[in-house]
Amino acid sequence: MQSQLEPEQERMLVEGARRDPEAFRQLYNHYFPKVYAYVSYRMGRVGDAEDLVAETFLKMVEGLDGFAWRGAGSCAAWLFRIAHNLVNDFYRRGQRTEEAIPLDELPELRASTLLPEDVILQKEKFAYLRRLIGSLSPRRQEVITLKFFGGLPNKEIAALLELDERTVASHLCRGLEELHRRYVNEVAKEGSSR
Amino acid sequence: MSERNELPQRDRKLLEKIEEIVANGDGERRETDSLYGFCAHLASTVPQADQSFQQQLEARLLTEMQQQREVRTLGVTSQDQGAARPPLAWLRRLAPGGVTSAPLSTGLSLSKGVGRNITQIFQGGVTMKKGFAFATLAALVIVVSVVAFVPAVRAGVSGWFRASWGGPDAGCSAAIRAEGSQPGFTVLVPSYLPDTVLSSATGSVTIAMGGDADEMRNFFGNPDGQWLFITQGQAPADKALPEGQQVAIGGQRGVLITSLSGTSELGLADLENVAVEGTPPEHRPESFAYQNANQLIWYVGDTRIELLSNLPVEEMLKVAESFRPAEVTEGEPPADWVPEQSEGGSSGGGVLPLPTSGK
Repeated sequence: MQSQLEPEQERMLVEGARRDPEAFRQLYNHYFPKVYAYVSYRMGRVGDAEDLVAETFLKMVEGLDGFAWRGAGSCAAWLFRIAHNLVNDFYRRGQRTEEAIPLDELPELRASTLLPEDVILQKEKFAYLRRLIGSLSPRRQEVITLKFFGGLPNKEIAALLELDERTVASHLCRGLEELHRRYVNEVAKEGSSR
Repeated sequence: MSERNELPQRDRKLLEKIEEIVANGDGERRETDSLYGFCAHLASTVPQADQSFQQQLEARLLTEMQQQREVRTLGVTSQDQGAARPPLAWLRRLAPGGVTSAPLSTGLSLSKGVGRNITQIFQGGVTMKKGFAFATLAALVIVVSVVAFVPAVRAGVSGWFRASWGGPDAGCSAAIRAEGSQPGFTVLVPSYLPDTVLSSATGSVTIAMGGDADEMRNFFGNPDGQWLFITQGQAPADKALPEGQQVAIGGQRGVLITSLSGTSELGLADLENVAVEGTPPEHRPESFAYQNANQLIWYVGDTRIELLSNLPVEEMLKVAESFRPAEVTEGEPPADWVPEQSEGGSSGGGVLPLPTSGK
C-alpha cells in the first residue's frame, strides 16, 4: 500500500493539477491504485470496476476547478466519496445481482509470484474473502474495504462516511473480529466435512 | 488520537496492528487463526489494475483536461472546430450580448464523447418566489453518462422535450433539448407531485445540462424536508427488478424497498459547467444523505424508473402512477422560448432570464 501524501504535498499537487499535466499525473498515479483496489473489492468484476474507476477520475477532472483543498486528506476523501457514491448508485440501480463471479472476471492481485497456479489461488482467496466481507453489515463492509483496500486513515473514512472517528474504529475492530470468527468457523466446518 | 485513547486497550492494539499491516502489506504467510494473522491475510488480497488500463485512462484524463482548458480559454475545443455545434451554443446565440458572466462550458458533453448530449432547461412559473439557495432548489436535472473509450456516433437529430412537473398549474415546467440524438429511452414526467414537495420547490430555477443522456435525474423538494429523487434511463433487456416488496404501478410490476439509508449523488458540482436560471443555489453538494427513505423501481415501456423519497409510500405510489411521456417536439426551440438579456452572473454558471411563458 502506498504511503499517504504529506498535506503540503497534496495541496500543491491539487492546486497544480488544475493547469499542470505533470502535477495531475502525480496525483492520479498516487490515488489510482487505492481507488482501483477499493472499487474492485466493492464491484468484484474487473469490467465493472474499470468502468467506475474511469468515471470516478473523469468526475475528478471535471470537478477539480471547483474543489477546495481543506487540509490533509481532503482530496482523498473527495475522490473516495465520488467512487463510493458511484458504487452505491450502481448497486442501488440493481445493475448487478450478487452471484458467483467467474475467476477470469476477477481482478489480479498484487503478488510477488506469477506462477499460474498461484494466480488462480489468489483469485479464489479474493473471491472467498470478498464473499465473507459481503456477509457483514453494509457499514462494516464499507469501513473495512476503505481501510484495507482504499488505504485510508480512520479520520478520512470518518469524514467520508460522516461518522466520528471512534465509531469508525469500533466498526473496524468489531467487523474484523466478526469476519475472523466467521472465517475460523467456515474453515473448521470445511475441515470436519472432509 | 484522543478518540483512539477512549477505546479499550484491545481495540487500540488492534488498530495499531492494522495500520502497520496496511502500511507494510506484510504477513501473507502468517497464521490466519490469529486475528492479526487474518488481517494480514486480508491485506494480501489487494486488487491491482492492468497497467495498460491505468495508462489508457491517464491519457484519456489528460486529453480531457486539455479540452477543458481549451473550452475555458477559447470557448471551443479543437475537436469541435468544424464539427457539430456544442450544446448550449444556441443559448449564447439567442441571448443578446451572450451569457458572459460565467463560462457556459459544455462540460460532460465534451468530456464523454459518447452517446447523446442533452441540454435541460427548467423554468419557473410566475408565482415563484426568489432568493433561496439549495434548500429551495426547484428542480435539478442531471444527466449521467457511461464512460467508454470509443468515439461517439451521433445521429444528428435535435429534439425538444417539453415537460410540466406537477401539472400545468404547478408553475414548474421544463424544456429539455437533446442535441445530437434522442435519448435511448422515453422521457417520462410525473403529472402529480405532492404539495409538500412543490411548496419548497418554488423560486429558484435551474438550467442543467450534462453529457450523455443514458440516464436522467431530477431532484425535487428540500433535502431537509420532503423530497423526491427520480432517476430514469433505458430499460435493460431483461427488465430485472431487485429484491423487495412487489407492487403494481399502472398495471406494471414494480418493487418497493423501504427503510433505506445512504447517500445519493446529485451531481450539483456539474453546475460549474451549466447555465443557471434564476437564483443559483449557494451550496452545491455532490450528494445528499438520507435515512429511512423508500424506493420504488419499475418499468414503463423502454424506460426504467426509480423513485427515492422520504414521502409516505402512498404518496410515492400516487406520483408513480402519474408518470406520462414528456411531450416531444423536434427542431428549433419553442417559439415562446426567447431568453432576454441577463443581469449579472454567478460563480456557477450564466444567469438566464425566465421565458415569458412556459405553457
